[in-house]
Parts: sequence; structure tokens; C-alpha cells
Amino acid sequence: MAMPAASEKWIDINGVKTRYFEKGSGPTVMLVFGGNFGAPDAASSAAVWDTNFEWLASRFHVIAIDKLGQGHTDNPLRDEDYRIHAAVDHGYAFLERLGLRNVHLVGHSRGGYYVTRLTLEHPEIVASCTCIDSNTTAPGRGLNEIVLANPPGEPLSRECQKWTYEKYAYSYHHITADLLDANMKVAALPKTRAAIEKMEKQKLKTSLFLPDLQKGRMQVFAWLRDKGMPRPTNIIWGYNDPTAPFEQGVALYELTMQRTPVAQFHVVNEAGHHVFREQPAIFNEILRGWIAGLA
Amino acid sequence: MPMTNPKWIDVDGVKTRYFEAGSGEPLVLFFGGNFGSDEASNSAIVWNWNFDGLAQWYRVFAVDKLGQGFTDNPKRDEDYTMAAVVNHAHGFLRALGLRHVHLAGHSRGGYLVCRLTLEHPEIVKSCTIIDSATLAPGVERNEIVFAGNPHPLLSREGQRWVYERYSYNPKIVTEDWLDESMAVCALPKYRESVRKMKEEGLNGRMFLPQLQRQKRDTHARINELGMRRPTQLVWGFNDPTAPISMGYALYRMIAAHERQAYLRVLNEAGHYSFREHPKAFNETVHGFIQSL
Repeated sequence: MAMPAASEKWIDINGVKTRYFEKGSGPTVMLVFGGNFGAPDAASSAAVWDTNFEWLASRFHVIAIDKLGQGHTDNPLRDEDYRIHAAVDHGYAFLERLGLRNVHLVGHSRGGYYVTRLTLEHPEIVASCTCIDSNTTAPGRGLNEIVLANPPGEPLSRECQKWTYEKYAYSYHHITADLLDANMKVAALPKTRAAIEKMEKQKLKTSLFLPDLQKGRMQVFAWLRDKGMPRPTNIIWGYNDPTAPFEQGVALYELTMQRTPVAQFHVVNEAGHHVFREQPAIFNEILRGWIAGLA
Repeated sequence: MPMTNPKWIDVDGVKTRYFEAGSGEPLVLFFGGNFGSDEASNSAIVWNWNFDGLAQWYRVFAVDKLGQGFTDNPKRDEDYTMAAVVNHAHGFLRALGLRHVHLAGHSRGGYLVCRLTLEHPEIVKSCTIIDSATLAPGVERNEIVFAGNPHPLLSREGQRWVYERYSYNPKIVTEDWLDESMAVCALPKYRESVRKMKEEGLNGRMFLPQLQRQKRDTHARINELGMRRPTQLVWGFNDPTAPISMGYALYRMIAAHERQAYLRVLNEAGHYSFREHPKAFNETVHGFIQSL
């Protein structure tokens, strides 16, 4: 199932043409997918939520954003914005522009770090924070460099992207033609190639993106250790995630729970990195129950 | 206190008290502890902050287990075992003609619902196990946590002290819960079960050794066959007697063979995680059942 075309929208955020999907009414839920701009192994977009979007939209006002430089959203305008924190700032500007308050943030993988930062920096617009299979946020090292090494085919070819999703997965049923079609559309955009050029060839990944991210992670750990999250925080993990192992999920939630009064941790069996795609029924109910339990 | 209309049923000669409300799929709650405990005389009333919420969605039952609450004691000395408690629970479901039930059990009641699921999968749709050191691999911490109760055993203050030690937030230990515990405690049948367990030594020579043996058998079954029914663990992150590390160990064991296996951890929650955060707990159970 593809994302509903009628829900696709565009908005200019400080000169960055931004694509998002919006549907439904009720409390606002904002979905933030993973990865980062300029990655040669997968050109993901908000379409990765197509297994959950309609169900959630029948209960909530759901927004799924294409992050800065990913999906169909423009690349950063300046080299110094090839940082995850520039993507977070873009996300904040997006929410401000739409005038959204009391937002339930839901972020996967790198998107989990993104929503954690948004919550820490702008708690006044956040109702709750859900962080999914995010080794970017969790203490410890993920296994991406090992598990995802040496993909077959050309960078961002269909073969390469399919292989990458398979390596992330416990089961393959969710790696659909619709998902790969959506990714191939993103891969074909000139701006996608331009971001890879910046990150890989011009080495912005190693000179800027990764060191900046590591600095930010240390800030988050200090925050969690000393103050906790300023909003209710929910952590969801696939028990069989090959890249963000269960132990990292435990380390993150145990750290979070020290000083975050309202916090939950949910583990789903037979689920890899994309727990929401592999097990949408329980994932959706976990998210629904989390939000209903806060009211 | 919402649970005000008890019902009674004869289960193989054992007069059994239970509460029932709501409509829809049956959901049966089993509380923790065991008969003849000199620490706490609990009953099904411990669910009183969850019962009405769950009854919005389900036909909910909360049962006084064999020898606990207002239910009769075991008829014979050799039934002062957890196996007899499990059989009585099965008898209760049979007597009410309940099939395809969702089970939820706390502490010793978590062991009970696990056994029911393993022994009678044909009547079980799902199994929720809450803060159960009785079931989880490892050693429960009760003896350490409850050492040195400064109050007389089974006195109101003595029970309050025990419940507060179990809890993250002592405010969950309400006067109505203590009223009920004292009412149970005052029943001659309860005094009799304490005498049997303690003075006649049934606890040390039968109940605990049998439970130990059965626990090993239970783990062997989980490891060999698996639960064969969707199973979720709900745990209080701050449980002092059944620490979260025991929850991980049990989850690993169950998830090895059961596809639909979930671990759900609530923060700022002690042993009675369902009382500490009733709304979040109820949503956790509801979401699990809805996902099936």
C-alpha cells in the first residue's frame, strides 16, 4: 500500500521546499523516519510509514514529514547545514509554520534522535516523545557498518536498496514493491545525487555530520542523566533488530527512566529495525495506548 | 470502591467469590500472593482501580483464588499447593463455561495464568503476566524486602508496611484496600490457613518445595514447546521484589518460542504496576488484545 496521494502536501520552510503527508483529526502525531541525506544505500522518505499511516489517521491528526534533504524535501541550502541538528531546526520551523502545539512526536532510528532533540529543545510544543529502534539515540555502538557493509549493485539501485532493507529486517514481507518504488523515485531526483556528492565525495559526512552528531549525542546523554526528558517518553524496540540491538534499547530506556517520570518501554518479538512495518498491528496499538494512557 | 457486587459460585465444592462486569470478550484477572500468608491477606479487590476501566471494553472477571480473599480454603492438606490453585482457577473457568479467555495474572497470579495457558491452551486466547518473580527465572527478593516488619504480622499497620514496601508510590496503599485486607484477615478460614501454613509447616514442607519443582517444570515447558498463545509481560521498572532483570530473563525465555511475545515496562511503578498507573496499564492490556 502506498501513501495516499491526496494527503501529499508541500510547504516552503525558510527557502526549503518541504514535502509532507497530512491526514485525519484529533491529537497531532508527527512521524519522523530514519536515515540521513546523502546516504548511498537507501533513499528513504515518509513513504516508509505507509504500513501505519491510514490506521493512525483514522484516530489522529497524522503528519509524516520528509526531513531536510531526504525524500522529496530540498537539500540544506548551505554546506554547514549538512548536520542532523539542521534537520531538527527545519522540523521545528515546520511545526511552528503549521502552528502545531501538543504534538506527539514519533521518530524512528535517526528520526528517534531528531524527536528526542525536538523534545529537549522545544518542550513547549511537544505532548510526548516516542523513540523507535534508535541506536543514534541509545548509548553504545550500533552495528550498521557491519550489517550493512558492501551492498550489491550500484548505489541507490533497486537491488541495493532492497538488500539494505533485508539486512535491517527480521522478516521480509514488508519490503514491498510500493516501498521500493517510492525509494526509487527519490533516488532519481538530482538533489538526492547532489547530497551524496556532498556527504561522500566532499566528505561532509566525516568532517561535519558525524562529529556534530556525536557531540549532540553526548549532550543528550547528559540531559537524560541529569534532568530526564521534559515530556512523557516512550521507547519501542524490535527484539531482533540487527543494527540497533535490544541491549541498546535497554540501555536507553534504563537511562531515560532514571529521571523521566512518565516513561514506558515496549519490546516486540519477531521484529527487526522497522518494527512498525514488520508488526504494524501491535505497533499501532502500542502507540494508540501510549497516547490514550496519557490523557 | 467500585467492586461492590460480589458473585459466588461453587467450584468443585469450593465456594468461590468473584466480580464480573462489562461485556465482550472475557478477560479474567488473577491477583497475587497465596493462602495462609502472614504478610498480606490480599483479595481480588486489589484490581479496584482497573476493573471498571477494563469493563468498558471486556467482560471482566476478578477471582478470589483458592484459599484467598473470601474463597474457601483447600479441602485437603495436600491441596495447599500452587498446582491446586491452578486447578481451582481452571475449575472456575469451566464452571462459568468460559472459553477463549484473555488471562491476566499478577505475581503468583502471573505464574497461575502461565500454567493455565500451558496446560489448557484450548481455552486461552492470550496471556498477560505482570511482575511475576514466581514465574521468572531467578530468585525473588521478598525475604529481603520484607525482613524486619516493625508491626505485628497481619495487623493493619503490618500490611500497610508490606504493601508500601512493594510500591514505588506509597499513596497507592489506600484505606479501602487495607479495609478489605483486614476483613479477609478476620475470617476464621483465613486464620486457619495461616495456622496450617505456618504452625503445621505446610508452607515449608509442601507449598514452597512443590512450587519450586513446578517452576522448573514450567520453564522446561516454555523452553520446549513455548507458550503457544500470544503472551505479554508487563513490568514495573521499580519493582523491588521482582526486579526488571527477572522480567528480561523471562521475556528472553518466552520470546525464543512465541512469535507474539511482548515486554511492556512502566516507569515509576513498583510491584503493583497496575495500581500505580491504572490508565496506562489498562491501555497496555487493551492494545495487546486489540492487536491480536
